[in-house]
Amino acid sequence: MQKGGIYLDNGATSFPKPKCVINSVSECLKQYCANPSRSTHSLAMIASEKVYLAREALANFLNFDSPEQVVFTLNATYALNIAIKRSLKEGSHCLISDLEHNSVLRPIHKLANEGKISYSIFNSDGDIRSNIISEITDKTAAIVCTLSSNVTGRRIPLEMLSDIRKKYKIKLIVDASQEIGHTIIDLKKTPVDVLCAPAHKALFGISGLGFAVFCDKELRESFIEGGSGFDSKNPDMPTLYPEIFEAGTLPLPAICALRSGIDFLNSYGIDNVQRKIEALTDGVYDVLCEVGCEEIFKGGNGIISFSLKNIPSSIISSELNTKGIYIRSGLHCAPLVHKKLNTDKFGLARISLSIFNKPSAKDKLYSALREIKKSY
Amino acid sequence: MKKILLLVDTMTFAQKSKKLLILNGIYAEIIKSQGNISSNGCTFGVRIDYKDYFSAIRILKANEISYTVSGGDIY
Repeated sequence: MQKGGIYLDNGATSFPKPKCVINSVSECLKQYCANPSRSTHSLAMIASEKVYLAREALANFLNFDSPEQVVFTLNATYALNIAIKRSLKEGSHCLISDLEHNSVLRPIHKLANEGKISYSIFNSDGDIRSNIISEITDKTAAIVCTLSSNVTGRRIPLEMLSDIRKKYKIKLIVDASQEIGHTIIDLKKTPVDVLCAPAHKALFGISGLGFAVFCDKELRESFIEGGSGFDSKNPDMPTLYPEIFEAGTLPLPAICALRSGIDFLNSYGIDNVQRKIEALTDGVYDVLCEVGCEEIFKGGNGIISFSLKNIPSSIISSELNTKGIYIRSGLHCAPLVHKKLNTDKFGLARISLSIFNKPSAKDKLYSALREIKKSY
Repeated sequence: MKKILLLVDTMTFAQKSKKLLILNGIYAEIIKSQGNISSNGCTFGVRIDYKDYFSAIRILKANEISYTVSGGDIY
């Protein structure tokens, strides 16, 4: 990043990372980067313990009692694909929101195109609970739903979703990609069947790791097959968690980073995260209003999207890039929400904040946006 | 001292078992066994002192960890 640059693309991946995260990756690579759950020499045992401690840290973070039900994956998309394709039986119907990222929409759409399932999209505006309930049929087997939009930051309350799950006895698969690390998620108070998320956003891990927390222990069909480190003579994939969904070598440095990121958040405090993000968001929102942005959408997860004078969002983004401000433009892999907002022609410019952003970032943003506005 | 081996299949459950046992004052070490013990190839388990056997299985059962005792009762 250029000197004085301002990174405002934390919804894509958080940057910078806390020092403890960088140190944990470095320590792993320098001291014990062996293959976990395979050998039992000293380094492999340290590696295996680190993996287990990361599962445990994540389970504790979510107030969930079973670390062995924490499955590590390549990313949140992979976790969602496992959860969706193993949970939805042929002939079933599921509900998704109009805020979904393609990581939910595409696997669901593919299953529907193959004639295996059907799905409906519920409206996330107004009385969301009634909107969901009105779409439930006797074939509805699951709600697959984001907890907050990666475009507008709009939230769908987990309490409400969890309550519908219980009352209507349907599965709940949540995409917590933009929510985890911003709010407290308590799986005892608000149970789900599967929670999926990446490590590298507000949990401050690094890319290459996502996870699915399976509260539903009934899913016993593997997703891909390969080495598991045990039961090796069996040509079938073992059905024990988490290994059933973890064929092949795990990304140990990323797993160590995740644990450090969670430790960091526990020390910092989610309440403090919320306070800081709220203050930063309000500051940026005021700037966007002052500059005269036409459409501004802000959420509680540090996401603020906007348009300016019908300038394509890609141009806003590239102009800001020349001034050392890094944001995201386009459709953000979430076409449903842009269709709903009628922003699918030029997309939206998206700012996404982290606790490492400084309040002064808004001043530089103000000057840069004013310049862009004048020149178009 | 006689040792006994409690096989729990996976490294994940071996780690969980070791942690629970140590929290309860029982020394446990993780071992990997091969075909001589498990007909399906590699398997993981925890090795404990025989004197701790009954306490250990009580802890594993309380935490819903399935185990098999290797080679009869005594390893």
